Amino acid sequence: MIRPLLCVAAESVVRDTTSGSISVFNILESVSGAGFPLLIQKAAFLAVWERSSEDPQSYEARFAVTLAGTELLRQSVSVNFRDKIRNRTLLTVNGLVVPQPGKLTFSLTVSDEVVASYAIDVTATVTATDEADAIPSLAPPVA
Amino acid sequence: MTKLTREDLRSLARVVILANTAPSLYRGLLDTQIIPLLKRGSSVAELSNYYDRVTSRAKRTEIELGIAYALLIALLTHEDGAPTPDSARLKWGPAIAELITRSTAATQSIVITDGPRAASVTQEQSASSRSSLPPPQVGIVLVD
Repeated sequence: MIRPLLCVAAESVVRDTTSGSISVFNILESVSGAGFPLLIQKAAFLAVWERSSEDPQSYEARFAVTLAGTELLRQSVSVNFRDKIRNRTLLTVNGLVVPQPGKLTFSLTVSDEVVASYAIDVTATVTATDEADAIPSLAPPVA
Repeated sequence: MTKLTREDLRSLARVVILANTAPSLYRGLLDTQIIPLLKRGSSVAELSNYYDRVTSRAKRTEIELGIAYALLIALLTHEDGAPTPDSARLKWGPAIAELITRSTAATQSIVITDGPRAASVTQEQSASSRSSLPPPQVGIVLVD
């Protein structure tokens, strides 16, 4: 059975067309917002899979983004090894609306036993209000 | 042992002279069709011995460099599981070995776009989202 070697979520994941190498930019570790719902304009998920030569080449998988167990996004994905031993699947989500704080999980599920997932915390930031307290006057009182 | 013609040797030298990066050298050598010729005409042991002999010389001509790189690629991509040659004997050997490792992975890039922008292949999102925005569209690009 195939197994995930690596999975991570980041702001962007790109592939160099000349060398074939993958680069991950700004790994997501946590996201915070002043107000909700919060729009994450761009998020990317990378999963690297490995199979043995006896395993089939193509697998039907499900990509999902969930917040505290509630699905925000779901998409069927075909993981195709195309005669090779490794597969790198890059999923870019342009525009993800997060309704409230919680644990945001990106997952690519092939079966119950084969899941690549990565979770981050989405928190609310408390905005400070800069209101000056009343400052007592230092001038002597006028008689 | 594989016999390379004069034209084969010239084309190897040409690739070496014109290449300015490891990827361009790798792709140039793949285009010559000499690598399958080497794999068909010689055993793994013969290729390995020849690689050791060519790379042991301190000074090499362009033809010898072309042969060395072609042998390296043939050994690294050999279906019969050749022993891993020492790629560090050649200036771009490690870079080419790295390229070959990466080319053994299939890569898929899928873009899920939130909005009415159409991609080359689109799919309907099956799950409903709490968002009031239009359902996202999917573009799939298969590479490699």
